[in-house]
Amino acid sequence: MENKNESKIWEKDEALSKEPKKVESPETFETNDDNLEKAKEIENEEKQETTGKEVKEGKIETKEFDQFIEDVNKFNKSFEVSKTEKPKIFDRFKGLLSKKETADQRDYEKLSQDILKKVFEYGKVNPDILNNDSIKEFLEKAKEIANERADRVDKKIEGLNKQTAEEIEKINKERPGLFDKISARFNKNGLEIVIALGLLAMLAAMPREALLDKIASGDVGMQINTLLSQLNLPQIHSFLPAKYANLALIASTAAVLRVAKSDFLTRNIRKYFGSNDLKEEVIQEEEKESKESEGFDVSSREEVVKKKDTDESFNQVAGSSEYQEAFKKYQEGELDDEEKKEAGDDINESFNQVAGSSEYQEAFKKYQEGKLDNEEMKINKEELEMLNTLKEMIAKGEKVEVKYKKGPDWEFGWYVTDIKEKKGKRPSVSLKRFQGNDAKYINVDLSKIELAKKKY
Amino acid sequence: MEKEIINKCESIMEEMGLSALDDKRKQEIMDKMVGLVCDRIILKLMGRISDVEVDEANEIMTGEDEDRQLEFLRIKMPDFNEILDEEINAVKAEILKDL
Repeated sequence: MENKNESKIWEKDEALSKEPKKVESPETFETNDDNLEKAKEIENEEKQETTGKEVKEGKIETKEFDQFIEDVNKFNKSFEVSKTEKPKIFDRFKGLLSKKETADQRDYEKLSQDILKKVFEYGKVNPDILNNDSIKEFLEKAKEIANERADRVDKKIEGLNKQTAEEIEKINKERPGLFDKISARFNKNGLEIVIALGLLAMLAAMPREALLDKIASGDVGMQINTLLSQLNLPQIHSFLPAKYANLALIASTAAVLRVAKSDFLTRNIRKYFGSNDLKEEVIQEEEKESKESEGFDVSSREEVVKKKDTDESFNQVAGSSEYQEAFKKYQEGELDDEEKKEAGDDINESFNQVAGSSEYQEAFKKYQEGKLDNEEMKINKEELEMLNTLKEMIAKGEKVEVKYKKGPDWEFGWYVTDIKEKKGKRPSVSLKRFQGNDAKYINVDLSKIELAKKKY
Repeated sequence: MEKEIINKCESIMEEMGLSALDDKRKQEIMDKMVGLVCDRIILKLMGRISDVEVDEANEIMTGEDEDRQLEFLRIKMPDFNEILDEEINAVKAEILKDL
């Protein structure tokens, strides 16, 4: 059924792009019979209700899509005419304008935003609709409209900046230079200060067990994600251009880690947490797993801790695929000039700050060359199949429940939060399990788990 | 994660009715907003520094002791998250008002 619908849409798309568009001239449009026009409007209003419904997951109804394209064409025509004949055309447009008799720039903006939203929704289901001529024409118009709106946004920001500048001037007279010094501190390391302050605020506000869970998780992706949302940093990221999203993530990851390494924060964390049994338990369990899975012969606790620290720092600093990708590109000179400058600044700064010691840099180099561990990566066919299944499920956003082999028994109720793959090492899996209101995190070798419901 | 951030960027742009803009224009607007929010947060902070603390604040901010700087900022702004939220929302609301 789904394929059938999609193929119909394709046929329609092709027809739309091949057929010369029946574009009525504004004059023709204006001289239509009133009754007929009225009837059409009523019909359009009814259809509009259908169009307003959410796109059903995985399919686009052909009828709904046809109506949508009709509306898009109507919008395209109307917008062209509006440039010269404002607002005469709008009474022909009320099916799309909630029964309004006239329309202005803002109505067009609202309408273009609504249609744009719909285009994105359809695009998710079938990206090829973006090649449809009507939609392409609409996107150009929507861009034109958005640019006009952006000019007004600019003016607003300009006005707000002016007000702020006046306040700054006033305060500078009273306290010369202080604003600039704080501002320089705020800007010195990008988001770092924001994260640091947020983290400190969080320390003061969060139940310690909850924060402890996050710190103990060892899953840097989730840790950063949680931290960012706890710190309201998504809003900050929201202001950053998408182009730099990757670098911003790297920089903020680095900044979190740097802050976490600072004596000041460490002191505060110690003061805040004191000694904690739960933390010890989680760390010990991780260490135990780490020993078991890596065949690491440890008679001295120091050695485990050292290796664990190196691995963890390494995961944290260089473990994210984003970081590795950006760093690789940076090393290979594949970034464009602007990106390269940004990446260079961010990566150098982050790397120097977070992992600035020669020890970490050496480790990173070895890691890239696969020399960090001499242990060969041996993975059997069944494990490989399971690994691929896990990856697929995670990529689809499925909750991956596994059973974990604890001694001779299997323990159910664990969920995979991440898969860690390092060159030259066996993959390991980060697991999470809820215990009452708390959650427990461990990092185990692939051989220690099986899917709760076997799929492979 | 990257996708998530991009989605969030899109959501702010959508909220402001600017999602159809090209990336360069979006970036310009975002940069301006970031600067504005930052300045407003610092102004709030300045309002919390009393006259007798100005010399100390100047000395701390001029120095290189980051721990001391952070400590000072933390004491002055323990509710940083709320302030950040407030300022972001205020800037957004002021921009959207009668736009």
